[in-house]
Amino acid sequence: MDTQQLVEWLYTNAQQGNWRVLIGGALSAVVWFLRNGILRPGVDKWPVVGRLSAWLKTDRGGVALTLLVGILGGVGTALASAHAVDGKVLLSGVINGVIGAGVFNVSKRALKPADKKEKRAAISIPLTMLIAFFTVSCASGEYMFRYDQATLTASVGGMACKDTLSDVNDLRLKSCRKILDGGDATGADQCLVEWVATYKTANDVCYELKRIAKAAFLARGVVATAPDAKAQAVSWTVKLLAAGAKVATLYAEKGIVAPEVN
Amino acid sequence: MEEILKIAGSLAVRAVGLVAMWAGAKTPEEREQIRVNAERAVLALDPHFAEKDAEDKAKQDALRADIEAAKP
Repeated sequence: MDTQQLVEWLYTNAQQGNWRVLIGGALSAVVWFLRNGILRPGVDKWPVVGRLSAWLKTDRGGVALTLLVGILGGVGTALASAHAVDGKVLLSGVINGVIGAGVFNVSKRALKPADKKEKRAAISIPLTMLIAFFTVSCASGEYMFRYDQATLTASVGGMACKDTLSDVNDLRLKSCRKILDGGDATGADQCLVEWVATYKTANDVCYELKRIAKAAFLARGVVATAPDAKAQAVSWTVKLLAAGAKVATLYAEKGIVAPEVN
Repeated sequence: MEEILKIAGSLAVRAVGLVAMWAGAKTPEEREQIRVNAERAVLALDPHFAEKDAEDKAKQDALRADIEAAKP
């Protein structure tokens, strides 16, 4: 579910009069803002508030915060509209909070999967569909043009793969050096060893993409004049795009495009 | 954060370029240009990889040396 679908979903529920779900959506947005906008990492270092802030960012703390915001929202609305704050208002706040927690959880899992398998699927499924689309497009004619496009894509992808890895190498080394500057040589060593292992895995897929782009380029003349030129061109195009997809999947899985900086 | 945005921006620019290339190029001249660009890009791969390999390894080695020197 992407952001647009989420908005559509909330809107549809509002149109159908299912206001509780809309309130739940709004509540989860408020909770998200509180946890990410107000209770920022800097706040965690404050004496007393910091401990509470850190706890509110845990799973249990998130549930408690959502319920609290739901109840306070219900009480606030009742007071603003000059209604009495009774048990019904409090219960309604709890129900809204529970719905809000559900909406928050669904959105978080769909938009930001924590599981590596989910992360891999999130990127590999659209890429596989893209490859299928271009394969059909190749089979429908103009296959040598598609072959050239795929070769160029794989080459540019190979360079982007290497450039990104190099940029992220700088960031990760900077992060390891920070540990060293803090006086923890063993921690810095561990940080470097872990990163070098990830670097090697990512570098291998960049080299694989480069290898296949070069092989496709060298084979172009033979493919174009072969009796089964179309079948060969389609096969090469799939191989080239699949190698690119492998890089994208691995980078997403290892967090190489959006590295964490300590 | 600025550095991360720079990386993401550079990837986005390349992605837009590739999408434009896949979607466009209908005339024979444009298609020939893609074949020429593919050739240029493939030929540039080896030197580019060698340069980046050397840079990255030098930075990793420098940090490793500093870590070893700092160890008790």
